[in-house]
Amino acid sequence: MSNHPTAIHVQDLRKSYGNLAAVQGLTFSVRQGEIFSLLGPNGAGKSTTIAILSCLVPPTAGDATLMGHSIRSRPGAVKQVIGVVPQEIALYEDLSARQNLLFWGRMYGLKGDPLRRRVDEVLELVALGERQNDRAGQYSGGMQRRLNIAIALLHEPQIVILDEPTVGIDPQSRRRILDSIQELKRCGVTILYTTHYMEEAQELSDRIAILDHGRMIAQGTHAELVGMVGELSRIRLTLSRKPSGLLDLWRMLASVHSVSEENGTVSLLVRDSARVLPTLFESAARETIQITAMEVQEPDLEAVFLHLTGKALRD
Amino acid sequence: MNILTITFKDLADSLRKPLVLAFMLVLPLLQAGLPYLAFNGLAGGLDVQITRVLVVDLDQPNPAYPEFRAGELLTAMLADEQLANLLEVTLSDDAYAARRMVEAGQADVAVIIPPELTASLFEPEGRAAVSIYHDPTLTLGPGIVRDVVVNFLDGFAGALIAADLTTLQLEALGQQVTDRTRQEAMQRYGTWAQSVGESLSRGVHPAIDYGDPVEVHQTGSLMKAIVGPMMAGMLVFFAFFVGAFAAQSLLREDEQGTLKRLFRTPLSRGRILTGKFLAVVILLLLQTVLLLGFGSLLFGIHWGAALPVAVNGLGLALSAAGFGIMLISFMRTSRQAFLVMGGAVILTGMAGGTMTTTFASLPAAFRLLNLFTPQGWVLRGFEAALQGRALLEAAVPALVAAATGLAFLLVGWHNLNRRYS
Repeated sequence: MSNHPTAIHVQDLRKSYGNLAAVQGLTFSVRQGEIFSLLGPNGAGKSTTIAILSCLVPPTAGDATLMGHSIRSRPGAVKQVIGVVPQEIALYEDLSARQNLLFWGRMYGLKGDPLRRRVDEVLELVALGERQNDRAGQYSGGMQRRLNIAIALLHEPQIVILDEPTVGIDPQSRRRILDSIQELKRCGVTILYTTHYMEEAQELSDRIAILDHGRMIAQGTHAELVGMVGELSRIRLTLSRKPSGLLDLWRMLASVHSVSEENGTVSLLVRDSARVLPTLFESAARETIQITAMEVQEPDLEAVFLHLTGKALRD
Repeated sequence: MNILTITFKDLADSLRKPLVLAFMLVLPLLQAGLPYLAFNGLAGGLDVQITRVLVVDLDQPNPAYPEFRAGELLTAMLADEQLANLLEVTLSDDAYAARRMVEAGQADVAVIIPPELTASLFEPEGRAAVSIYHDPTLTLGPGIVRDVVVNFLDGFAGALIAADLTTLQLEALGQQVTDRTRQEAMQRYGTWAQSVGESLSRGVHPAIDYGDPVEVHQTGSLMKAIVGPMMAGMLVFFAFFVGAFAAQSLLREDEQGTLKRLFRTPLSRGRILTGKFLAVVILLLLQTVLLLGFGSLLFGIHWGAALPVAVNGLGLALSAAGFGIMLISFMRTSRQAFLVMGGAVILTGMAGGTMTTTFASLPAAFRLLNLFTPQGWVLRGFEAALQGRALLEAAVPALVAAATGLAFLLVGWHNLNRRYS
């Protein structure tokens, strides 16, 4: 992957609205054919970054190139190589899916038979072929989301930018959208994806950048990011009575890194949760203490965000 | 090509909206059509039942003037062809039989002219009564007959007064007055009274100088003269409504996210806005052509020569479209725009004189105020075309309106560019 040429290069990108700094010096690169996710809570600067990269708003400072075209000097060329799926559903509800696609295709300079062929292809890709002549306003939220994506793919862009495309839809439609994105990657399309769902970022992305308050606080592969918080899992146990000497026993176990107790809940940081859990249950049973509730937290992006910012990702 | 794709999409979108169609065609036609239907009788086209009139002329001539009979004149007046679509006159020589026919429903009105009518006109103390006998359930027909008879008798009374006045004045000057002199005075009065009556029947009083906008003498019909300017006023008024409403597509697209999506396509913002402006202009041209056509077909309006009308149609479309784009550039949401724009269009429309086109005597200050609105200029152009004035007189207001529209567009363009940059 590292030999692939760069599709997107962002250099010290900044955007301010008055005193509010929405984006503060972002720098990152996305390789061709890669899925790169911008992960962060609402207000982290993801959508502003997308708006700048799609030439919707100019940056206050910095620059970015997409397939070699600068957003500052060649916005027209940039718009031709990218397809943007906006966060909101942006289509004409009075028109059918097909009419919508024909209209937007013409906006990208497509016409005649090539346009009609391409419309058929994208309808197939997003599985809307059977209801292509229905008014878009009559579609379910999931179908509208899929049409929203289809519009961005009409002109066969080299880079597809998706801004939270799965917000507010049912699991089935979300699955279809994620599958469509994987399919695009297989076709060699570079994808810049923003989300605040860490599961999506984890499942889809080759690399992930974590944003908070307009800054990039970490970037790398999922494994690299998780490695930042080490390999320790957190186990939380609720016990039937005060454990007394049990906690000292657990502290002596080799896999257990630390044990703490607060308000009847015991927290353990352990190296291999799967191996240490049976030992914990056995020792509790010997002391006639019942474990009434248990929670195991494996190292994940949530933990990374917590580790780096001191707050939960969904705040 | 891409510009036209936006234009036709917006155009189709507007034409799908019932509200646009209502403002575009239904309301202006109703506004102008209702008065037309209500008063069309003044143009001679009133669809009322013809009143059957039996005239019993018993009048005897004055031996001094055997060639003159007032009864004969009154009969001729009732049977005049101008009243043919209102009164059907039949002659009878039996007053009793005539009354019986009215009672039997075989006639609506019986007019019985007494034998002494002519004689009474020549005698200073002479008296005679014309009897009008009619079905009491009828009002309109007998009313018309009564008006004709009263006008006739008033005319003779006026003629006698004219003759007496002439006699007094000539005698005061020491001149001899003969019957011939009196007769001549009465004839002159009769001629004058007849010309006044004709003028009044066209809705024009000879003592009043009628100016713009109603040119009654050219149209030959009062209703056509009224409906033409009224329809022009409604066309201009509702065109600005339609222009403002159609221009709201920018706000609606902004709200549904498609405007940002359009801005993300390779098409420049200038071309996108041009496409949208063209859609408004074409919609307004369509409205203008349809209303002008319907005005001609339904109300018989002659709008004037083709070129002045075309120039004014274009001026109207450009000014209304520019006005709409400028207004929406100050608005944030389509809901806000709907309310504010309604008020703005109504106020400027009224100040522009679109509601007062049929008022003959408006203060000069109001006519001046008209010119501070785009509607006032367009209306002036249409009025000039309606009155058949020279091309320049009709074209100058249209050009001013078009230039104003383009200036409005520039202001709107500037605001929108600033908002979306």
